[in-house]
Amino acid sequence: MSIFISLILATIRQAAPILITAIGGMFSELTGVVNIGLEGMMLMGAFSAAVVSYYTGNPYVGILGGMMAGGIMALLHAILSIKYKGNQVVSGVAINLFASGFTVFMLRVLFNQSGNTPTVPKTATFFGMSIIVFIIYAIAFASHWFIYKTVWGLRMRAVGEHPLAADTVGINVLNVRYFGVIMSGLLAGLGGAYLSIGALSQFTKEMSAGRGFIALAALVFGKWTPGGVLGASLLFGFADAGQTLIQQYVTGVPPQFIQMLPYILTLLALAGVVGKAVAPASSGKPYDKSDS
Amino acid sequence: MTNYILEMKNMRKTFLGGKVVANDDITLNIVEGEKHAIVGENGAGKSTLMKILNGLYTPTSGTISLNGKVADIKGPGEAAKLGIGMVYQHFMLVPTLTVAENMILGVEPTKGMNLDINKAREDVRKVSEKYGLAIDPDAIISDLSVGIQQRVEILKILFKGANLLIFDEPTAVLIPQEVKELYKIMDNLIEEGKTIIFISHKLQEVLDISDNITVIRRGKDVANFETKDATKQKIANAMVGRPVLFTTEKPEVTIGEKIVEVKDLNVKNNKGLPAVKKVSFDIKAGEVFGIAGVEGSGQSELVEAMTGLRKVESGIFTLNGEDLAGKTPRHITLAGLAHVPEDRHTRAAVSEFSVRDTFAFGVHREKFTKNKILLDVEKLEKEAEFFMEAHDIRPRGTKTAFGKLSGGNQQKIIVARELEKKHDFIIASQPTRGVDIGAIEAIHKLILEEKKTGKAVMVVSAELSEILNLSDRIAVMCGGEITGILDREDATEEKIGILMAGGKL
Amino acid sequence: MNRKLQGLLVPVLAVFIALLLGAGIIAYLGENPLTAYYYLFTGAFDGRRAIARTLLEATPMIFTGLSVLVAFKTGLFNIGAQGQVVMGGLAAAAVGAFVHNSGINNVFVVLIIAAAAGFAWAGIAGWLKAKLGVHEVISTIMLNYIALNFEQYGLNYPLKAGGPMGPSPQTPPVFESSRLAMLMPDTKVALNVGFIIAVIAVILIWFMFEKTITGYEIKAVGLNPSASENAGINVKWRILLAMGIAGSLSGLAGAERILGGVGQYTYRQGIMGSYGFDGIAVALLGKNSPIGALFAAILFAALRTGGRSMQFNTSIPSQIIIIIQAIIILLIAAENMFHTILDKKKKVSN
Repeated sequence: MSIFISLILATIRQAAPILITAIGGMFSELTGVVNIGLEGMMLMGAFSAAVVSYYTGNPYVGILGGMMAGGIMALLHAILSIKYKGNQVVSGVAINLFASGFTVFMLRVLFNQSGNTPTVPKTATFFGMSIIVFIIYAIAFASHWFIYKTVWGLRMRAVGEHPLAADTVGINVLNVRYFGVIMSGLLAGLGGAYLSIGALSQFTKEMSAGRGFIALAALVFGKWTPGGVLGASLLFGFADAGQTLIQQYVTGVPPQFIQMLPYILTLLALAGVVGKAVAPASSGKPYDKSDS
Repeated sequence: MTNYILEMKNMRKTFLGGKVVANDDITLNIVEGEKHAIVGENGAGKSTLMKILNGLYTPTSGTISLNGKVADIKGPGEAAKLGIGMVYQHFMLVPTLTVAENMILGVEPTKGMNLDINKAREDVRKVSEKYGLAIDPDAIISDLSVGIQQRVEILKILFKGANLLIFDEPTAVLIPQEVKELYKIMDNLIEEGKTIIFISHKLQEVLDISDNITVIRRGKDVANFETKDATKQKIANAMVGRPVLFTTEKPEVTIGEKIVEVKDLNVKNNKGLPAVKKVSFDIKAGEVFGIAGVEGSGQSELVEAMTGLRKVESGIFTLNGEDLAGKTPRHITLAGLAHVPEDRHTRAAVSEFSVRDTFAFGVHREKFTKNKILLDVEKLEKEAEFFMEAHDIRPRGTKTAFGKLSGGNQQKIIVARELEKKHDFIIASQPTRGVDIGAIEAIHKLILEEKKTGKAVMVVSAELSEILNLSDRIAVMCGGEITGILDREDATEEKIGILMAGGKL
Repeated sequence: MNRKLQGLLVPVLAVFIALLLGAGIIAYLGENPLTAYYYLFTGAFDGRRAIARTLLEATPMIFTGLSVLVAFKTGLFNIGAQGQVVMGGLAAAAVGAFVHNSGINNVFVVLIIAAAAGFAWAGIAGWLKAKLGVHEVISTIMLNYIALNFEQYGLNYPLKAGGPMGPSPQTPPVFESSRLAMLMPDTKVALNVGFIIAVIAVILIWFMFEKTITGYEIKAVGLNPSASENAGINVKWRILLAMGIAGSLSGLAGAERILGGVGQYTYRQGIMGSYGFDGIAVALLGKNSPIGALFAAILFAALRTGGRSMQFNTSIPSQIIIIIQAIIILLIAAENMFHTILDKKKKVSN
């Protein structure tokens, strides 16, 4: 029985960073901007949260630091994709590469280390989970209300499906998209902050380990709805949690194969979902009214 | 003293830093309470002019006066406040949202932090009652028919208090019944004190319902007629700048044997619903077989099935006795079918490819390779140059990107390329869509020439005049079925209209 | 200045600006940028040894740059180059170090097998995209992580020198017959025939796209799959083929690292570096042209080998090179920004 409970708690914990990053990705994509750079934003968030926590001694300021770092990266992505109408995938990939390099560089400059920061203050925990986990799930539930019950949510959805129509009724398409993209950075940054000062108490190189991309898969699998994304994230969280458990109890199978499970599951999920999942209609296309 | 509700003086709009001049010193005066038609070829600048009026674009120079007062229309919100509303050709409705949500978009009522969706529903009910246009506020746009969607578009602008309504090609996507209903709605709106501007390229329609006509050509206003003094010939000549022929000479040809046979063909659309239902017909050598019908009646799916781009659920399609149903596009092409696709930009060519490469596209393996590995660039170059000369395609220069040519020239190249293929049967789908009147003659001529060499020709078009102009026999599609097949001598617009609406003769 | 020329200017500007910003960071860290850059340049190009090191480092990036480029022409993003490199390397090590049959452990055969492994690995993503429409960005990234886990498994169990109980996670050295010949052996740098093969690959890929039917069709599919379908091109097969070619190029990159001797002819931890991801940077900087990729690869390699010399002679950590590389990528991604600014400048001067 206690294995069962610890599995559920582990699932909720492991799903959290994926969930919040995927919700962030949802904000961006609902307005029509593809965000491949979630991984990089998460990584920057993790690093910044650890660094800020280290220098201020306060992990809660660290959380803000992490979110801001994600937000700044997202602002960059927004400017490149929205203002300058660049290729959104290339911009996202560039941000990921930048984040990888920047975090490793700063590790050396600030701490003269190549693998990880020293231990930094971490957040309080309840039921064995960082307070950030609770914040994450609260935001996830709130996002459903926001998307479907508020004016902003309606406008976001309109801009994502038919930006020209929104423009003709006087909605500022570019502003709505800036909002969506920056939100995605703030939330991915929060996800990263959880990794470094919520779950652990330090930043380690490349600690996002592909979660930003799994979040994208959760977004597709969840068909761009908060409820769907929640379900998909829990599924991936379960795979992650189950993996550690299986390693403890199942011998004879090399651990690497078990570690592959979340990624294989993602592939299967994508393969199975295809054909039924439809992205917002303007996804990936820069908005240019003279194209009409 | 005429009461002008709108005066646009010396309107000028340029793009790309002055390189593209869309509107060049246009003056337009609209009388209050009239129905004013704006006519012009594709790219003449009429849409741009209307978008300036609606606040989507800001003019480079010029003044706009509403009811004598100069107006500075900064955006669509401003335009709406000034009482201007536009019903677009491609509806400005978000397909995944409901009627109510679309109606209030941009002017959303709120209750605290939430969207007040109940008030929105009320607002829809009120305005639909006021103008007598029934609509369900909770219906999702993508579930509604085209005619009803247009109604939502109209209600949307009336809801925001429009007095000057602009319609952009309003009947392009309607069946004859819906067209009649729209004309009635327009008359009612005039009675309610509204003024209407509409853009149309259908000359008969313009003559039927407008009071005044302005013709725009190459960014300039070139003519203004009172409708009672206007004729189709006058309008067309003004649009093109030279006398225009309306009908093309049909070559005298004896029609041969049946070479195309379609029997009980069933095809599904993208949503998995039946789009082509037990369609049967045959086409003879030297015959032009026209398929008429409003877009969305299943013609697109029919053509896609016959060209191998869509699955055939059941049924037979043979060419010269060879069974082609369900075969790949390549196999079908090699079997002797040429195809001018309805959507030239997505289906016919790659816009970024040069004109030279476009000529090879689709026949590159057959004609332009010496050993199946290397592209025979020399041969390609020669052929492309020859064609551009022969069909007077400008600008000359085989390296120009295909996408940079005018619609008419693009279509000429596509048609020429298809005709050059070794073929017995050619399908031309919406062959003159987006093509200027000047080039339409040329393309019709090319199609009719096919009769002389005994080819079977199938023309699918939403332009009734084109079908009547070219066809020997006419089939009408409605709701995925063929509602009737007429010989050209027996066909009239009325009869075809009835068949298009699903009626029987 | 016309659009095309403007476009070619962008990579040059990007590098220049990135170096400028790098100089700023160096100055902030308390060193003289000119001195630092002097060591950077000499470390990369001064003398036979330096050149050999630079070209050696460039070799895998030429392959992966071509790999990303080929996929890009088909309209696909091959973020999975790293995984394909790993699978190619594992195949090369598995055959080259363990298969005794002399007919098979011949260097050419091993190269072909490594290319095939890369072909297959990329082919999975290609198939998922062609058949099921799965977005290749996510699928190739997942395949990267799976490949990395395979690498760990391989180095610790079946391929481990000395068996699972062996001293360290690496394979035994490959047999003599599987090794690539040395170029410039006097420099004691492992620059090998792999570099020549990479240059040949550049020429072949250029030729494919300019002169052959296959290249014509791949380009068509990348630009307009609908029209290509209508023209009788089998779009699904082309996508699969293009991804396969891309994968095999990356596979060769992995093979060169093993058979070329840079790691004493063994597959060891970290030998595959980040060459797969560097390929993305190379393709972007090279503006998706094979020749451009060649120069871009050499540039990035020069930054790296020079960076080590810079770290040795000054206090600047070599990781700054990663920052400079990342800035270059961001600037390339901002290409449109350049065009907008240059267009505005033109307007003002008119």
